[in-house]
Amino acid sequence: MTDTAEQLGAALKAQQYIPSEEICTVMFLAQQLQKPVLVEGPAGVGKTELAKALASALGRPLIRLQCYEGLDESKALYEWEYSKQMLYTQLLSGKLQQMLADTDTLAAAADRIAKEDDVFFSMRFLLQRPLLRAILSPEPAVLLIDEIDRADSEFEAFLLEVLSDFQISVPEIGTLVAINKPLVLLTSNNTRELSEALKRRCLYLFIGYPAPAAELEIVRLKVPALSAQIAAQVVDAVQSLRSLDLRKAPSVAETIDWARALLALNASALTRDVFDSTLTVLLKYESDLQKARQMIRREPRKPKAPDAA
Amino acid sequence: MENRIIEFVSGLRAAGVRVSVSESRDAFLASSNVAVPQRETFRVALRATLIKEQRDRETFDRLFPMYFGGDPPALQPVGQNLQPADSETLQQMLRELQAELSDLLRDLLQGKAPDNEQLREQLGRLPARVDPRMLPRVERELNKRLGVAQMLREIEALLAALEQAGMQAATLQALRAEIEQNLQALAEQVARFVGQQWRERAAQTPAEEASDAGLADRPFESLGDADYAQLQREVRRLAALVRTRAALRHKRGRGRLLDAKTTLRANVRHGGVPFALHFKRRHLKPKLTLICDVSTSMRQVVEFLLTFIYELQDQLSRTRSFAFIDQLLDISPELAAAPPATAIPRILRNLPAGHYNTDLGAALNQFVTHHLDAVDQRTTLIICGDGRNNYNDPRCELVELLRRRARRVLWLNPEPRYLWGSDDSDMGQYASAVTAVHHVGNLRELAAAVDSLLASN
Ligand SMILES: Nc1ncnc2c1ncn2[C@@H]1O[C@H](COP(=O)(O)OP(=O)(O)OP(=O)(O)O)[C@@H](O)[C@H]1O
Ligand SMILES: [Mg+2]
Repeated sequence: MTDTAEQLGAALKAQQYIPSEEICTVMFLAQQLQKPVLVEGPAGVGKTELAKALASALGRPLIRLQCYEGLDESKALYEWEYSKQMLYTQLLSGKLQQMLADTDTLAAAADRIAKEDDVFFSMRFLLQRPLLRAILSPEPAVLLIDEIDRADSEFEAFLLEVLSDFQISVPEIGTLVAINKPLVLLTSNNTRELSEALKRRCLYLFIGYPAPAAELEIVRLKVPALSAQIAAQVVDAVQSLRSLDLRKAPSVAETIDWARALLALNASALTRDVFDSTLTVLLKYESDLQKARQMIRREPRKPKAPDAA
Repeated sequence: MENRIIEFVSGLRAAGVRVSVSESRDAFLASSNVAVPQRETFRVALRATLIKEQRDRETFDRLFPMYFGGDPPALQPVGQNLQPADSETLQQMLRELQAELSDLLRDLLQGKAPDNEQLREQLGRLPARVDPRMLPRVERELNKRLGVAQMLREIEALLAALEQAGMQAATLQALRAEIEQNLQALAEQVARFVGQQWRERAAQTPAEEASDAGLADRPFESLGDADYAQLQREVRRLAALVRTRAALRHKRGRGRLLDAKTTLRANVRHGGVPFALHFKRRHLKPKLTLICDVSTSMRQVVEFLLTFIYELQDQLSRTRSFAFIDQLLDISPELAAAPPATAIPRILRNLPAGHYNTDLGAALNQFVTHHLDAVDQRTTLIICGDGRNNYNDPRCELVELLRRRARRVLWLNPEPRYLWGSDDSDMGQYASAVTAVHHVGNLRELAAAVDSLLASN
C-alpha cells in the first residue's frame, strides 16, 4: 500500500511504467475507496500494461481474465475437474465396493454414496478460474478483467454481481467469501456500450495518447540504446501524425516498435528516406501511409535539437 | 466544500450528465481521500467518480472552473511605475482625449472592472436551460454589450497619441503589457460572472426537467426542438438499458437445457459416463429483417429504431434492413458501413430525385419478388410505418404470406390507435394480418417494443 498518489507514481515508474498524474490519482483512489476502475482508451496506450505494473508496484499477484465473445462462468469462475474425479472413482473402486458390501438394496447403496458426496465435490476437484482465484487469493491480488467489451452482456451482468460482494456460492460446497478484496481493473476499447450499472460501480479512467514529454520518457525507457536525438524526433513525428485524420492513429506500442526498428537499422538520423522506408511499422492502412507521406513532403523534417531529457 | 460539490453535481445534471446518488457519494469520499488537497488532484478525483463517459468530459471540464475556480484575478491601476515625466504625459493625454474615451477604458486604466450590478444590467436574465457549450457565445455577447471592441480601438488610439507625444518605445511596451493584463483579467471576470449566472439558473432548474429523462416520454413529433446530441445519448442509454435487461433475463432465466448429443460425444473418453454436462446455448438470438417507411413523416422514428437495433447488434444474430417510400431499397450495406444517424441521411440523398408517395403495397411486392430469402422460419420481420398508403393497394395478402413464412411479423406504428383506419390509413387491415402491433409514440415505448421483442424470442 502506498500512502500518497506521488508514492504510487514513483513505484509505477520503478516498474518501467510512465504514469500521468491522473493515472496515479485514480489508482490511488481505487485503493483507498476499494473500488474497481474501468479503464478506457484507444488500443495500445498501455491499459493492460498499467495493471501489470500496478501489481508489481504494490507487490501483489496479478490475476488476469481475458474476455472474449462466449466467455462464460465455467471459464471465468470454476469448473469441476471431471477427469480427476473420474480417476479417483476408479482408483477408489475397491474401497467403494467394500463400503457398499453390506447394503442390500440399490437405494441403500445410493444413500451411502450420497453421504460421501463431499469427498468428490470438495475443493480438491474444483478447477479454479481467474475470478475464483482472485477471491480465494491468500494475499490481496490485482485482478485484471481485460477487454470486458468483448464479453457478452450476459457475462457483464454476472460480473456485476461478483464485483458487488466478492462472494460466490458453489452449490456443492457453499459460499466462498473473499479473504482479501482484490483491486480490480477492467479495460475496454469501447466497442460496445457497457451497462450503466457497471459504470456506476467503477471509477472511470480514460487513457489517451501521452503528452510529448511522457512519450519521450517511455521511448527512452523501453529503447535505451536509441540516441536521444532520434528518440526525440520519433516522438515529434508520431505526435504530428496523430494530429492527422487517420483511420488508425499510431499508439504508444507502435512508437516503441518504430524506435526499435530504427535502432535495428542503425539509422543515424531520421531522414525522409528512413522515414519513408520504415513508415509501415507505424501505420497499417494504405490511405494513412499516403497522408503521412504528404505531411512529410509539406514540412521537411529539420533535425531537431534533442530535449534536455 | 460539501455544499459546493452538491451544487456542482446538480450543475452537471442540468447540463445533461447523468449522475447517480451513489456516484455523488463516491465523489465526497474521493475528495476527502486525496491526501494533498491540491486543485488538480481534487479535479481528477471528482472526474473519476462522476464522469463515466468520455463524451461527458468536455462538460465536466467546462463546468469545473465555474464551481471551483477560486477568485478571478483583480485589475491593477495602470502606469504606477512610470517616470514622473511619462506619468505627466499620460495624465495630460487622458485629459486631452477626455471626450473620446469610454468610461470602460477609464475604469480599466484605474484598475476598476464593471461591478456585478453593471454586468447584470447588460446581460439580462439567462434563459432557464442554456447548454453550457453556449456560454462562450454568451460571454462574447456580454463583452460586446459592454463595449469592449470600442475600448480596444480607443487603446490603440491612446498609445499612438502617446507615441506622437514622444514617449519611448520601451515605456509604451510596458504600458501596453499592463493594459493587456487588465484586459485579460476583465475577460476572466466576465467569464466568471456568466458562469455564476449559469450556476444560479442550474440550481433553480428542477432535477427532472434538467436531465434527459423527459426526452424519453416526449411524443416524437415534439422532439424537433430537442438537442440532437442529447437525443442520441438518450437513445444509446435506453439501448444499454434494454441490453442489460436482456442479459439479466437470460441469466435468471429458466433452467438450462441438456444438450444430449454434445454431452455423449464429449464423454466418450469417460467411458460414456456423463461427467461433463453440456447445455444447449441458452437462447437463440433473434434474426431480424426490417422494412422501414422513410417518408418524411416516419423518418425520425425510423432513425431511432435503427439506432436501437444497431446498438443492440450483440443481442441479435443477423439483421437485414430495407427502406421504402414507393420503391424498396436494401440498406443493410450502408448501415454496416456507418451508424444510422449518418447512414440514413445518406440513403435519403441517394434516392432518385422526384416526388414520392408512400406505397407499401408496391414495396412489399418488390420485397417478395427479390428478397424473399431475407425471411425464413427463424426471422422476426418488423415493419415500421404509419400504414398510410395514399389509397394505393395495401396488398395485405403479401403480409399474410410473409407471416406464414416468418417466425412472426411485428408492426411498429407511431400513430395512436384511434387514427388507424382513418382517411388513407390501411392500418386496420394490416393489423389483423400481422402477429402483433406496437404503438410507439415516444422513445420509451420504442424501447419497450424492442425489449419485448428480445424477451419473447
Ligand atoms: N505509460 C507507459 N509506460 C510504459 N510503457 C507504456 C506506457 N504506455 C504504453 N506502454 C507500452 O505500450 C505497449 C502497449 O501497451 P498495452 O498492451 O498495455 O496497451 P493496451 O492499451 O492494453 O492496448 P489494447 O487495447 O490493444 O489491449 C506496451 O508495450 C507498453 O509497454
Ligand atoms: Mg490490452
